Amino acid sequence: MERFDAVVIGGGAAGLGSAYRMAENGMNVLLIERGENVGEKSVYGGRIYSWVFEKYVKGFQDAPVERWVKKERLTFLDERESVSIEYSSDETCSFVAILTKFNRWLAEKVEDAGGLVVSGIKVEDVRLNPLRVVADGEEIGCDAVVIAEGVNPMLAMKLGIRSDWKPEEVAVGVKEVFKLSESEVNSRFDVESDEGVANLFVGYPVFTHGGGFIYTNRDTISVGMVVRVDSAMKNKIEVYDLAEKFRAHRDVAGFLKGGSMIEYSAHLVPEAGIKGVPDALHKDNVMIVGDTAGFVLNRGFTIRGVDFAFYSGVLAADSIKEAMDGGDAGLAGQIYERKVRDSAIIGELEKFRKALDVLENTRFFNDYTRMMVEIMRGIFDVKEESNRLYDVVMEKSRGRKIRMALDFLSAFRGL
Amino acid sequence: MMKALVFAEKADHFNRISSKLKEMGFEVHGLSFAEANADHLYISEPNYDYASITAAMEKISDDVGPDLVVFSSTKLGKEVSARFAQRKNLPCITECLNLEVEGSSITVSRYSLGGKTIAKLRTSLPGVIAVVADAIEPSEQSFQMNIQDFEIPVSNQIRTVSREEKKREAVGLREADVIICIGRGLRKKEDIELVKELAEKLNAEIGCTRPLSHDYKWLPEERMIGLSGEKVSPKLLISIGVSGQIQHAVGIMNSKTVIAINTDENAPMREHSDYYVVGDLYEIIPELIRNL
Amino acid sequence: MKIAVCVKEVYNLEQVKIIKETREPILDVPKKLDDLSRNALEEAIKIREKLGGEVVAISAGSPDLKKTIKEALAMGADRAVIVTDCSNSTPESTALILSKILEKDSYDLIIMGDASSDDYSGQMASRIAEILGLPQITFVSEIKEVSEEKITCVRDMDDYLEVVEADLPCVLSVTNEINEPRIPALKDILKASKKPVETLSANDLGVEIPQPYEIIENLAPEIDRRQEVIEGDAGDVARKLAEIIRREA
Repeated sequence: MERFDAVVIGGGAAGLGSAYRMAENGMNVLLIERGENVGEKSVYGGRIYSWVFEKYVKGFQDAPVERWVKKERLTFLDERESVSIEYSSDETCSFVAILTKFNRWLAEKVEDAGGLVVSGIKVEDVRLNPLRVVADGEEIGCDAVVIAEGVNPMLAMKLGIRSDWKPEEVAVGVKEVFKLSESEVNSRFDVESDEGVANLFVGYPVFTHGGGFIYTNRDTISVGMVVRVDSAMKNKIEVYDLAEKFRAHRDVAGFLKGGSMIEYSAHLVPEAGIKGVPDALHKDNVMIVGDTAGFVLNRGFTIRGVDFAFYSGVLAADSIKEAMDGGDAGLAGQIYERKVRDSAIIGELEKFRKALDVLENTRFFNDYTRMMVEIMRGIFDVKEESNRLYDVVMEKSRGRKIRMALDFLSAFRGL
Repeated sequence: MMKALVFAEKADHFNRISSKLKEMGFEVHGLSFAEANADHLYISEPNYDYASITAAMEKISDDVGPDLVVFSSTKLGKEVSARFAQRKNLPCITECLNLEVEGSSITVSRYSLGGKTIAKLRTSLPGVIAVVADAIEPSEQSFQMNIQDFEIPVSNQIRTVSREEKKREAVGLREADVIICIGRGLRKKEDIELVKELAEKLNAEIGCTRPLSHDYKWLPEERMIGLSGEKVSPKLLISIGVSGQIQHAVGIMNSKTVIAINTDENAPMREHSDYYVVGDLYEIIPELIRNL
Repeated sequence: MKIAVCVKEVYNLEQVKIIKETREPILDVPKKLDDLSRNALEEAIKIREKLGGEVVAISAGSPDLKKTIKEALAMGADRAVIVTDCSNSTPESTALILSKILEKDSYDLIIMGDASSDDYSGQMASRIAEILGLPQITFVSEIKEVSEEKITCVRDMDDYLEVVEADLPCVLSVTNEINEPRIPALKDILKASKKPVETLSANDLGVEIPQPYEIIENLAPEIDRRQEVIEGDAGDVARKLAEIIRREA
């Protein structure tokens, strides 16, 4: 029987983070990915917060970053109009990447550091006492297993570490990539070649839990739509139809004009915040990381997942190392549990526990979005006569001022 | 005047190539196994040994001093062209579909990326190319027709134990007005009978994709349509159970109208079809036969 | 028996997309070991299983080869020699580089695919055999007999099948009908990670890479079909089809 210090299951950001850290620490690690190529199964809109890679990955400056996000834009859409809020800065804390490519690069880093990465192999089972991973009819022995199987937690469920997602805990996202030229991207978004835009959209055509996004890549743009599964089911929404409507909106279509769609993908995204994190993140020396553990934080205007995924992988790796160095490799699971609970991952998810309740309120996705657009129309619609801001706001909020005040207060506190 | 030296084991290929070269203004020299159109032609007994032909072409080339050496892009032609080019330390491009000369350089087109694209390459003369003879439309040209016998030097680098002509049906795929092309959507060999019935109704020839001829051997190789088989140009091509991989699609691109029947709504074949029927061929074809 | 198998990395062509407007291919896709290289490897491994000896995978390509060559090792090659600084290779340059590597050892057999599935140029066996002064048997669809001294093969040519024999050493190119390449299991892949890979540069080998041609353009052909989808029950569909057929045939 082949033996490794640790086996990592899944070649997304979480698994790669774990394998990379272990390889860097001189451990004998095997990563098994079921897709033909590592990273192939990863679908992500595009924006990644860079802190974790800057902190842990040697040579991160050579990573396949498409553009650094210098402009953040939040757009409220109704059928024909839009209101955008833009924040622009020379400072940046995030970049846009094509996650499949980025993960392929990370896999090379793992191999350069001495880790073994194997793809096109499906892990059938993880067995305890003694710890083994079963794939291709072979058993592989190891001291610890890191499950980074993404949003579809087959093995984690089998081991009873976590339960499956409920419809209100996940969203379905579709992403389309449109080819333009680098200079077209620059001029359409008014940015320099290495600068990018992250634009989130609320309102049309979903008007419920979810929204649209546009991220600028080097010479393509990623456009898509995310809708929570329960809302999609309740309102009988086909996310594909939404994506098509979204693309056709006058404030979106302009960015895509003349570009041809070169990629289409769909994926589930955990959306339950802290509520999607199971009580225990390990069983014996098997640990769950990344999406499998539910480490995704949606605050409405920012979504964090990839950085938490990678970071949780690092924490698992460090826990295994600490346990092995301490002479009892079997303690890794417990150490991991403690490390994650003490880390910024759980810290942040806890901090924004309330955000979930705020975002539960569909008025933000519908009524207030429409109102925002209507108020702007009221102010800027000048004919023979024009409107006072006060009158417009008063009229548009008639009969719902108290509820609105409460909603906005909760949003202010929660997000 | 620039000189070209041609070798093609088939006279038809030779004539297509030599007419093209003549049209481009070359003085055409050549080696063939039968009478063919050239200004200066060496005729020898048939010989299918690469080493012998390479040696013969080397000898003739040393006498003639050609700017361009052209082979027919058959398996034998490709094999010899590369060996000859290496011996003369010349660049070589095989599977050329088209050629143009500009001054002392030649531009050729060939499929690239498995047929997904067509690459245009330019190389300076002298050089070697192997041309897909069937891709050339022959033209009327007048040649000097100086013909002499030639004895190909014997080589025994490899020894031929036996040679057997492939049994070829006379297949009129290239001339057919209507072609029915079948692919892996057909479940078993016997089902070809159903297709034959339709073919008879339409007076159509039957062609197939590579797996059917080469892997399953349901139909003879000469019925294979695609990059490495026949390239057809019928008025109507009916494609049945064909996924439409690019290696196959290349063979049907010159068809006037393409109808495809496929169970998969999004098979690559769709892009290559004028009418794309989503459905089960086993239900549709019997109905279709009744309707014709 | 010492067998060299010349293998090639190719773009995963299934993933190559075409930009509709410009007809340009997008080549930013992973690479893989070419299918015909797998046929060549399979045949070499079968001979080794019968006669014993060593199978060495040899390749020239991009830095990605470090990864793709593992597929050859997982299939069963014992070791590999790769040159990773010739991304823009041509048959001319690859033949020179591979021959330099082949010259360093004495191989009984040198096997490769009859062409690669991307360029389909089919020059490698001839060029390498010429450089090394060896006989060649191309388009082999079956190896009838092989011993330490001699090999007998069936060649599948355009119009004829031919049985030929040659003394070793000899260069072979095989067709994709010759065998069904094995798919490595996890244990083969794990074993492969411990097999030696010698990585060289064209410079190490003293080869200057010739650039005999210039690529003027490389575009997808224009496809302009109506793509009208016909659905419905078989009867309706058949009536519509019959109408179209009567009109077009």
